[in-house]
Amino acid sequence: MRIARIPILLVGAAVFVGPVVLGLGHLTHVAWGMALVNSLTIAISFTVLSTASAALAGFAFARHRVWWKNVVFLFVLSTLMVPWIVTMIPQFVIFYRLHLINTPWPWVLWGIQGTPLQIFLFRQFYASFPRELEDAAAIDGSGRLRIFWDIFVPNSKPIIAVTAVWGFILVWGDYLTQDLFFLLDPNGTLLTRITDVLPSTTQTFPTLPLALYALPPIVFFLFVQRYITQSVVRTGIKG
Amino acid sequence: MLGRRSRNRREVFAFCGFISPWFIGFVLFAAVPLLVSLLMSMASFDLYGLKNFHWIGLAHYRLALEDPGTREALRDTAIFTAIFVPLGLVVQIGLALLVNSGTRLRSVFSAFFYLPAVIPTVVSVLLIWRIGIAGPNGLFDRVYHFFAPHGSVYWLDSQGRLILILFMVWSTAGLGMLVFLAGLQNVSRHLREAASLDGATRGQIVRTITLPLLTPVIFVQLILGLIAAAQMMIQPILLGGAVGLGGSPFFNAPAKGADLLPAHIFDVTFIGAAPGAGAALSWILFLIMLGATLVLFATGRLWVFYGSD
Repeated sequence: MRIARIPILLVGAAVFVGPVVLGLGHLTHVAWGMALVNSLTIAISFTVLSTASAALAGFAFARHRVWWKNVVFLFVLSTLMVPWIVTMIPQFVIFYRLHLINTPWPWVLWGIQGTPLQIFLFRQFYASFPRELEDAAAIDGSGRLRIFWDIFVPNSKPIIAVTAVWGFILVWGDYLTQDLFFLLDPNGTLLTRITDVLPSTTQTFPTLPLALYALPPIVFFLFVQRYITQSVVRTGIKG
Repeated sequence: MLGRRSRNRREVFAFCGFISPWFIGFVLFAAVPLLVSLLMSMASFDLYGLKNFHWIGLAHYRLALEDPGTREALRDTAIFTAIFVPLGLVVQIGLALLVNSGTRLRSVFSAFFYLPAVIPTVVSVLLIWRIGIAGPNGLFDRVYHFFAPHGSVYWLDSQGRLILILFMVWSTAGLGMLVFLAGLQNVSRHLREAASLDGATRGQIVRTITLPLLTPVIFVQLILGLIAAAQMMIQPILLGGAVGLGGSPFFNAPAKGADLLPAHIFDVTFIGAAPGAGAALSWILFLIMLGATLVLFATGRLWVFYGSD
């Protein structure tokens, strides 16, 4: 009985999820469908990966007892000092050589790094957790990963929400990178498509698509707005 | 039980594991590109696929510093930064003090001030600033016509630098305000109340207690302002006067006085398809950034007050 349940569940899932996948497949043939798929792919993959990576790094910088960790943290902050254009020229040339232009892969790879602000926010947030929680778990024999996953992650929903929304806003509004890395793709992303149809007469813009494009980040921001004020104001910039 | 030494080893091992995603990204997308860009700045080659590669030494740097376009961009960047960074700081501190005094509506107002940072730059420049504020019959035009009914100003063309500065102050104010708000929570309320009991006015309290205690935050915000100025690429292009070939914003020429160095580098590299020259210019920008930051750090000890608490 128990063994039979799993195939039935799988078939059931296929029946319900299958049409959705097929529908999305058709979306790629619609005029702006592929642009939408590209936009969503880069935004979601970067958001998820950068938040996860920043949570891990922020936890390590806040809680691990390693004396040289603050030296490494200076390197995290130092990447802020490098202007976008300095590293973007070689990256464009290299990604072009690797045939990764016109694909979402650059955003996946950048996502793995996280961003300095996200790492900083996680570090400040985790630094305020009481040490006893961790010590009790360590006596029980839990490793670092288990402590992180069982104790810290369930208690960090506000900061996860804030950093994820911040990552999403970063990618969603980043016009230049999208235009460069989808340069030779007629589908492009939503943002590059909207601006492509800009007519040469200066003052008539596609007002409605542009306004609609600003909606997702505004909605997400309104969801996490109170957490942003709290997390930034509470943690301060000390330490 | 594990020995102390082996526990430490495990801790270091775990630390390296946790930061490895960041570290791999740091090496591949920050450290290596930085060095590659330095090498590229000493070579000449095609933008697409590294073809026709020749080493040319420091020629790009010499040509860049002789080029009048680059000099103009450097001057515009210096003027822009010298106005934008202090003006932005004043606005951010002002907003933070304002929001901090009304405690009940604090989060509502900070959300309002943060909103411009959330809207994608393309949308806020094109819809809000090009049409609503600086466009014909926009906000500026109406105010101007109120005083001079027969004159007309092409704001984006003739006042490009002013519009650019106002746009940047507007769009970066929210985050800066939040950071100052955080700093204000560290300013002791007792100190201010004591001063107020001794008969100090609000202005005196701000000048002699709040601002000195905020200097560490001002220091951080100065550096972040420099960083923001070094990233100014899409804004001058989108706000540029005439939309030219193909209707793409890429071909907008930045307004006179608003051709900032990062936008100029973007133009040289990707529109002019000269990545070597672009890399050289981007290293000049990077070195200027480093120099400015070092100067700030060196002079910081003269005016930054780290409390004795």
